[in-house]
Amino acid sequence: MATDSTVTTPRRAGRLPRALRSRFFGWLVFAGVLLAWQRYASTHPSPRYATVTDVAAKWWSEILGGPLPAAILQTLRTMLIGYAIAAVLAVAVGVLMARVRFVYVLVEPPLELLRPMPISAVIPLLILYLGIDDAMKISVVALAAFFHILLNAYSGAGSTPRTMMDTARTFGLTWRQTMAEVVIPAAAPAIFVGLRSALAASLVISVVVGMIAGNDGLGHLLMIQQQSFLVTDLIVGAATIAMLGYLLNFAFLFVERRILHWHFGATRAQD
Amino acid sequence: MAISTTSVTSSASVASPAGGAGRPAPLLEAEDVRMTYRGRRREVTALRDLSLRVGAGEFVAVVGRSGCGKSTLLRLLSGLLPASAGEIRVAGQPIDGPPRQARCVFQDYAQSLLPWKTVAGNVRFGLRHAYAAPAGDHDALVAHYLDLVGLGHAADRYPWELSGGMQQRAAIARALAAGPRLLLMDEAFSGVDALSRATLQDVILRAWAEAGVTVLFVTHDIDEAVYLADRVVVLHPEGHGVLADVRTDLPRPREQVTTRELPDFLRHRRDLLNLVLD
Repeated sequence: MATDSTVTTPRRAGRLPRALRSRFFGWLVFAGVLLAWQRYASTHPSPRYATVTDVAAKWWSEILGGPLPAAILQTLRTMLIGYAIAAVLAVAVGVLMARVRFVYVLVEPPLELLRPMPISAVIPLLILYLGIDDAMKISVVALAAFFHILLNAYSGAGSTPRTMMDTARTFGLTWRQTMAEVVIPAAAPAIFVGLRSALAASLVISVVVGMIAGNDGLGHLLMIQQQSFLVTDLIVGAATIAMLGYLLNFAFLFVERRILHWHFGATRAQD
Repeated sequence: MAISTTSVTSSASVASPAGGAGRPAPLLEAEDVRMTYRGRRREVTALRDLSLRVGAGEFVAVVGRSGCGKSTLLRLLSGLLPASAGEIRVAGQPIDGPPRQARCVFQDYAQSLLPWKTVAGNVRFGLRHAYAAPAGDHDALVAHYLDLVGLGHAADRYPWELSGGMQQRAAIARALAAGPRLLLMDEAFSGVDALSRATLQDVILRAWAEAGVTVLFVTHDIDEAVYLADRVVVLHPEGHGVLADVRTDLPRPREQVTTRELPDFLRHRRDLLNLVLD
């Protein structure tokens, strides 16, 4: 065999230049879009448009003394309570479904029927039963988050490696110890996948339920502003929700990296 | 060979199941054990007519061709699989599930160690779920067992940061930390390279001598069986129980190079290979 001693990595076809591969480039494009928007809005004065600087100024004054902070807190409160309830319940039910046959046969059929139902379809019914206050909103958020977490907790808890279960058995762990010390930690990476998508869903639903119930929160604020043609305020509201989502995800990733550091390490070690 | 004789007597003094009348009940007994797997259409009997006795303190290796029911036997003895017929007793008591006195070391160490715990954390798991946790400070005990398997320097590392051989050593330390009377090992060294394997063999020999535990070691490697054990049990190739039960009793301590050159080592190796390959 005539092999050359030097091996060169072939240059991947169509590889982007260095500058274009940096994330910074994306932010640069975003800044460009903002700039174009600013230019267009300031050269075409109309009540339908607002300039970027107007939006920023409005946002600042809203934060300092407008209805925005109260609305943010209200929405976040609804969201986080509902999310927390869903997380606890869904992990518990998911693990039990995966590990206790009786729970599985009992719970699986109704869940399978409920799962494809759009959450917005039950809001009117829940309003009828629970009114338009916290109880209803928290329930709606919890319901929306529940299935995201449940399915992942179920599949995670159902796929504990056999050798790991054998280890738990031969070390004489009780059922509860096996769940707490082996099954749930082993399912944690899957549970976190569910928790993350549930977080996004919870934010969306907590805003939407405010719009429908129409008494408080960011959703309600947006509806009022829309009815008053307050374009600048509407953009402020939408941008605020986007930022909330970004911050929540950021905080989530921070916590996830702490708790699942072993998982990311093990995954890297396999590569 | 003064050292070797003392170490033999000290580790095997509890044992000698060959002793005459009035000897204590063996630590592990299997009597006419059969295992039949029920499929949808047909039944497969993986193991039948298996009887085996292992005395306290012994180091017994079980060898046989693949398909002879070695792994089934180990799952039965560890209580992970209920036997279809026959009885398995540990310390005279019929087992119904994993016996408290036994711990297992599995071939698949990566799925047996808990990856969210450090090496020390895994050993501490063994202490918390012990049959007879030795008295003392847990931190000191963790250090003791890690030193026993030569992992003192890796206490704070995670299993996935270690080589396969080191991971299996961590699993051995965890099993020993639980203070078992019986250590069941299923092809435990098959997943690592040859040099790590030699290290692991010497680690388990040292641990056996120091911890005074009884070891049943299933392997497909005849050389490994002769090197480690005092007694090699050959299973019938089609799962019809025990084909041969050979006392090897090579001098201890064993040494990777010189033990393998002993005429007795070579003789047992040849005889056992002939048995297995027939």
